[in-house]
Amino acid sequence: MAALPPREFAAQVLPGCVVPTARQGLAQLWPLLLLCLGARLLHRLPLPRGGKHAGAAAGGLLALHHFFGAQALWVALLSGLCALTLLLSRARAQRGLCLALAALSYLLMGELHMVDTVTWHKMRGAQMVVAMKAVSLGFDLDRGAGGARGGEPSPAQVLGYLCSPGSVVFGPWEPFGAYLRAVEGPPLSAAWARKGLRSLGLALLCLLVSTCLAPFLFSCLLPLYGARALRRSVLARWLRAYESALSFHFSNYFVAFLSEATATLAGSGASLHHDNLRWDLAVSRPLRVELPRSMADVVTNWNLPMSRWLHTYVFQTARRLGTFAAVLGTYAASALLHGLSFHLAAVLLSLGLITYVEHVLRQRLAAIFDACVLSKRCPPGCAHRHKDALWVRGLNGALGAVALFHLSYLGALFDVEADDTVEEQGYGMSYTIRKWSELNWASHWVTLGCWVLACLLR
Amino acid sequence: MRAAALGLALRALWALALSSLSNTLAVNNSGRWWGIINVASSTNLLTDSKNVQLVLDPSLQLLSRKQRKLIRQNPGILHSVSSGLQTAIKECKWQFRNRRWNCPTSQGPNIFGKIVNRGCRETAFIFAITSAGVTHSVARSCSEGSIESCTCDYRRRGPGGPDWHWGGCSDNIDFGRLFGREFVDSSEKGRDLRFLMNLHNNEAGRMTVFSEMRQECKCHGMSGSCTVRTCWMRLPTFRAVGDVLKDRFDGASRVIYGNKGSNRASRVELHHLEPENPAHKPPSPHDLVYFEKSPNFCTYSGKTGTAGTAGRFCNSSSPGLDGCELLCCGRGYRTRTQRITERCNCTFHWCCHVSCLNCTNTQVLHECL
Repeated sequence: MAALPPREFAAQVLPGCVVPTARQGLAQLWPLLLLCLGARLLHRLPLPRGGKHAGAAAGGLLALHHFFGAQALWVALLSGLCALTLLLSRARAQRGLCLALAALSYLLMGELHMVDTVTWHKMRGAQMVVAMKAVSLGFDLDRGAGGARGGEPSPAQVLGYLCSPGSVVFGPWEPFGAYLRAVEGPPLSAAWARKGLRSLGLALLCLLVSTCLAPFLFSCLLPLYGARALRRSVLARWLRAYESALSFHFSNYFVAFLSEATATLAGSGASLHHDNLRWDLAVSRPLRVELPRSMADVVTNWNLPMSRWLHTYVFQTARRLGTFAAVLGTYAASALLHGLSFHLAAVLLSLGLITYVEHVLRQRLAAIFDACVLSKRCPPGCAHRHKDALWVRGLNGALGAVALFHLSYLGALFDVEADDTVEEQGYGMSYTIRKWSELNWASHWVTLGCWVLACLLR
Repeated sequence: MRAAALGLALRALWALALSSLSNTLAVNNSGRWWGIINVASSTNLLTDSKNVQLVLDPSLQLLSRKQRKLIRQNPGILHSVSSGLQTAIKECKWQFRNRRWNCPTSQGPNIFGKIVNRGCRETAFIFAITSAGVTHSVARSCSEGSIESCTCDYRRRGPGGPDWHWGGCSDNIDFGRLFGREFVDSSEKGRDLRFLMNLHNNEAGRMTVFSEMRQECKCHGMSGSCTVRTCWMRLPTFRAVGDVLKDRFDGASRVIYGNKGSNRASRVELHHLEPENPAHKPPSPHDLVYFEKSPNFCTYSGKTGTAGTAGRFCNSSSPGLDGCELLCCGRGYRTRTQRITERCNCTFHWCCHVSCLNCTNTQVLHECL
């Protein structure tokens, strides 16, 4: 996409992009939203439990069919496989691991042999959600935790959970207990409707920013490329990287808010506060990603349910291997879930290294200065002497700026200028290497520098 | 009595004047609207598109009544038409910068000169690219909102679903084509071969803009997967239109007047173009058509209105059309050197100023005799 002069931008992008994008978005989404509402109303009816679960599963399959056509069969097959594995491993102790193995091998087989790249890339998100749900259910049963306390779940329950329309297409991952609460049918309320509409509105806004505004940020909205000398400089390359990253981020927020809306509409995502239902499902926190405190903060707030899943089921399981191994293992698991794409694996493993080094360095700094500069915000009553001094804020700001730099670097890979075919199939290895060497592998060097610094401070 | 005689004489004079005027009009009517390119210079008119102004401006007298009516009915469109024309001329000059005929233009009402009244490939290109320029510019101005009578409206957008159809600003390209058909084609009068050729080439220009429209898409889904795609249409750059038309120029088909059958077929059937070589396929709406061979454009000729290539700069090392051998038509060339001083090695200093050096280069120029 070549840069447009501002006049053309105003003429083309605003009416030519904003309106069609919003229309296409809504036109593709309304059946899903209707299905979610239908599921919600079904759950309110006085039906036997089995009927509700079967209804949820049917609704989910319809939603899948709407988005993927006949290819929805692959997702349905995965759900079937997971339910079957759960049934067969009834007597074993390690059901979580069994399910993880089954789901992973299905994903790898599909990726390598069964389906063509474009189709697979299209369905990856849905399959990831199903796999995550199945694995979490297995571990919950092992630990006797969550909503699985009430004994063995029936196959209808499992299928309803795996395919519930509120989360089957765009996510989010929700624990089994949350699904069971949604099936109970919490009362319809104004707060519920407000939350659903708000999430939907925010989703559309993010969609528009991602498609129509972010790719033109520095060429048209803040015309920084105007200065001729700047056009070919290193700075321009970084600005472009930031544009790509921003567009990718907003695409993610779109999906996050959309999944928030669908899950809420389908009735899950309510939490109980002092006997009050509160509709406060949060999938992503854009502000904490765009103005980050640390990369760890970014990774958590990027997709809260996903990071919660990784923390509960992967990190805690792998913890006995040591922190570093657990962190890398978590990111590796995430990469495996995302499919065998070199590009995503590179991003996720880089993220693992960056967050680990950041964690170590900030721990050292916090100990030396006795200040609140850890990756995570200090809890209110922490033992640090300097909490909110100006220099502490300055240091946090500087470390946040480093995180912003890492973000542009990583996000440069999700380039809007790439061909449509590339975007449909996912990006290859040579593409990743070319993009990063254009930016001189800067982020990796900075990470190495931080690590050396952390070692010296020891 | 004397008064009556005077009246008669005046009437005769008037008739004479009218007939001579209509004679010249009959010859030069094609593409007379191109004269409004000069409108762009009188800026007060652009801001104020009222009737009175339109009638008063001399270059608008070149328009036919229908064209003036169209401009009155679509306030703001005049600027768009004239800037589209300017873009088209710039593109024509760029596409032909290396050829013997380099799209020369002149001030005054007949900007392309006498080539317009011929029926060669160059004529075909001029008609196609100016028509494309108007369509392109009007289509863009519509979505920009600078023409009051058209907007980007989205009635033709298809439904969603996996096989969604893309829209975008499809309606304003429709308006651009429609307006082009009404405005540009109304310059052409008659029923002869030249008339048919000009209409065909005008339409080919518009078709090119339409068929070069591009769709841009973006994927959305969990962690970058492609669950949902949103797309929008974008007009081609005018360079892309020029490139396609240049290709069509190279592959233009030579046609003759086809007068098939004398039975009561419709008028459209009666007048149509046939390929000169019966073995060839009839020209498609995308193709450019011509009916006479191009002059060689080598030497000055007042009759055909060609300026010749004397004094043109050529490339001594190129064997192609821009090479000195072909461009100078074998007459040879003279070589001279020129010293040029320009800004170079510019560096950007934070923040924000740019410093440059002055470099002097020697340039070797070859000029056709």
